[in-house]
Amino acid sequence: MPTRTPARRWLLAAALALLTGPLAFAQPVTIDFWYAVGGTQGTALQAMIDEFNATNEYRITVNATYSGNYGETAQKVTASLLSGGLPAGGLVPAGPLWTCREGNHLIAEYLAGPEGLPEDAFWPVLWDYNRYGDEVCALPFNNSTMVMFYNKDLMRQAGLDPNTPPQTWSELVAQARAIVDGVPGAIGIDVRNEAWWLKALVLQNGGQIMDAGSTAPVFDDAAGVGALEFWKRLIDEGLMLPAQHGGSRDLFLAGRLGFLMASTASVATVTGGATFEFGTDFLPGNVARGSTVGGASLVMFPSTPEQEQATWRLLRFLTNVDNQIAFTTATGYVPISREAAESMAIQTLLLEAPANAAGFEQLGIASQYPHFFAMGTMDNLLRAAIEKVEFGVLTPAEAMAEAAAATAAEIEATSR
Amino acid sequence: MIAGGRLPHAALGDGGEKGWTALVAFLRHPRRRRDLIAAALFLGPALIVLLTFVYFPIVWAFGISFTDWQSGGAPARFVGVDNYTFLLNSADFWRALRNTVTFVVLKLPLDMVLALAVALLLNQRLRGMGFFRMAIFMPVVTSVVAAAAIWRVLYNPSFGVFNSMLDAFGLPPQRWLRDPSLAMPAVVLVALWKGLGYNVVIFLAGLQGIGRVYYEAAAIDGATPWQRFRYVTLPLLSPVTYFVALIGVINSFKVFSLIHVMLPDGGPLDSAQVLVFYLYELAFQSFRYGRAAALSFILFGIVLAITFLQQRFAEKRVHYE
Repeated sequence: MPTRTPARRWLLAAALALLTGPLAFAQPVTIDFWYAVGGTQGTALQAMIDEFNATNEYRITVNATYSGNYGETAQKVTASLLSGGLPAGGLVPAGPLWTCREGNHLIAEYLAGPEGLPEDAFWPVLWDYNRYGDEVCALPFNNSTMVMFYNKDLMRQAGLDPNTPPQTWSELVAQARAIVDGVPGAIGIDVRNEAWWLKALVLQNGGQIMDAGSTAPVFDDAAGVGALEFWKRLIDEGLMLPAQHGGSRDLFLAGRLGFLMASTASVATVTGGATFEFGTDFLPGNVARGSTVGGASLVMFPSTPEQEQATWRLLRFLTNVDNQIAFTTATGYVPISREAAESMAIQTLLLEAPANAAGFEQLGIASQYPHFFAMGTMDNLLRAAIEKVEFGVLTPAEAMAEAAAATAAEIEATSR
Repeated sequence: MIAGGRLPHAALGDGGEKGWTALVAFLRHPRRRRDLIAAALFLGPALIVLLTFVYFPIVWAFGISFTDWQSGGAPARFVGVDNYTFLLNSADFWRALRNTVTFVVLKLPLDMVLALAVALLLNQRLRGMGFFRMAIFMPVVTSVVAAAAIWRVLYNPSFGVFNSMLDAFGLPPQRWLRDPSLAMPAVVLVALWKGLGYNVVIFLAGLQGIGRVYYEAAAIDGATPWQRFRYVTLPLLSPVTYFVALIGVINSFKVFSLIHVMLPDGGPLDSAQVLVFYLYELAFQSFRYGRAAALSFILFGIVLAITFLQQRFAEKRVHYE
């Protein structure tokens, strides 16, 4: 072994410095990142983060951890807001509530900064989804919307054209009627998430859920009451069974349900489980088409300036068009921008999995109220309102008024 | 075990200087001191865990119950007893309490009678009794989530087994979990099935602990089987019965996971929304931690009061051998 003289050591050091010189300008940064999605979603996200760790030019290392499902992650974030220990970033449910509501405006700052994102980086509805008040507080990543699944075999048996699913409320009623009357034991319509469909019906009837900025509920006006009256009509006419919506997807998979209103997140399950021919389409409309969206959000929590910049770069990487396409391909979740939706890769994917198309395209017409603290309570209240109408305890007008009053009271009690 | 004699309880109980001197005198013995140190070392880790994760959170939650803490980093405001008055004036709270009481009243008597009956049967010396004992105990070790999911399928109004059975007898189908008046009884049935084995085992242990001499004496005196049950078994089993009833009430007031899986929305018209379910909604869907903490202490108060009453009135009827 040759002995290393001091001179040789210096030479070696100089050579190393020359080689790594450009990198020396970027100090290594390590950031923690929590994500609330498991299964294929979690695997796809972790793969992106691994790729980022291996290839990013800024010497950023991301320690990503699965933080449990939405509920568990919300609890962890909530606890950490109080006690410290928040990661630099994450994919968390109700992101705007844990950021802007806490006085953290990092996303808005970086959006306005030199490395910001253009307006068309995401569908307009997804910018709205990530607002608190009028400010963008988080970025979209995994989003879903509600679509209509229809059983083509049942439609055929009922003498309907399986390739012209209902586009309007009246067509929905007529076709469901034909299925109920024409196929013994068949059920016309059911829904997997009641509050979600009611909110879509309100939009379709020309109403709104919340005022601008989500400061007060407005779903108890004539359009909103009309939406719940339509719901009651479906029950009264025997087209939908009252208060047993929990089993609706199983009913659809058993081939006994004509039309199922459910999240795009159900596409994979239905595709895997249906033994009959089915299709998906936009939710039928009335004076308008419409649906709201759901999903978790990418957020940043306060850390050092270097870590914050590193987190922003990670979020930009995760939401670039290639990764949007990769995530959609892996999970069937909707592409979150028009550019991704119209890309060759996604169009090819749709040829193989046409059931995804409805959700992908419906985002272009979806609308969404900004996040507000009482939104979970509002959904519970809307579900209770539906149930009270289904059991005939209240009229649609009374039920909507009660739910709106309780939502307003909850907003008042939780305002800051 | 403290070696070298008993700790002078009476002296310690007096408190004050006298107790203290007694303790010091007691510990003067080096072996006792060593034992005390050993005991502290053994108990320490468990105590630290308990203090950190059980007792401290309880005290902390009591504090939270007087604030408007909603989640988030903003400091919670002290609101006095507002959370308690809100709950006591809320129709949701009273409905949840009513539902909980319904659950207890439906479940507990049936549970005790059935468990005792099954225990008496299993107490026979018959061939293959091991199999029956195992079969009865099986639901207890089944995961509550898996069991609840299976029962949901059985109750399914469209393709569940129960409606097929009703249909076979020409009876009209029922909506089961989706019927406001049937949802709670349907849940109680599952709770009975799930928890029966546990009480059976306790009763069985109690039955086997009763000395044969009493039965022999009763038989010699000409007691009928019913009289032997009524005047020997029941009185001597009373400590066990008391225990089963006490634990049954406490656990019934705390029922949650079964309902959460079977009726994630609280049942039709919230007919199965019990207290802990309401607490869960307050805390993890509405993020009103202050109110949820207050509810947990109201629940604690109710359970404490019932336990106290049970002790007060039932203990007189308990006979010890």
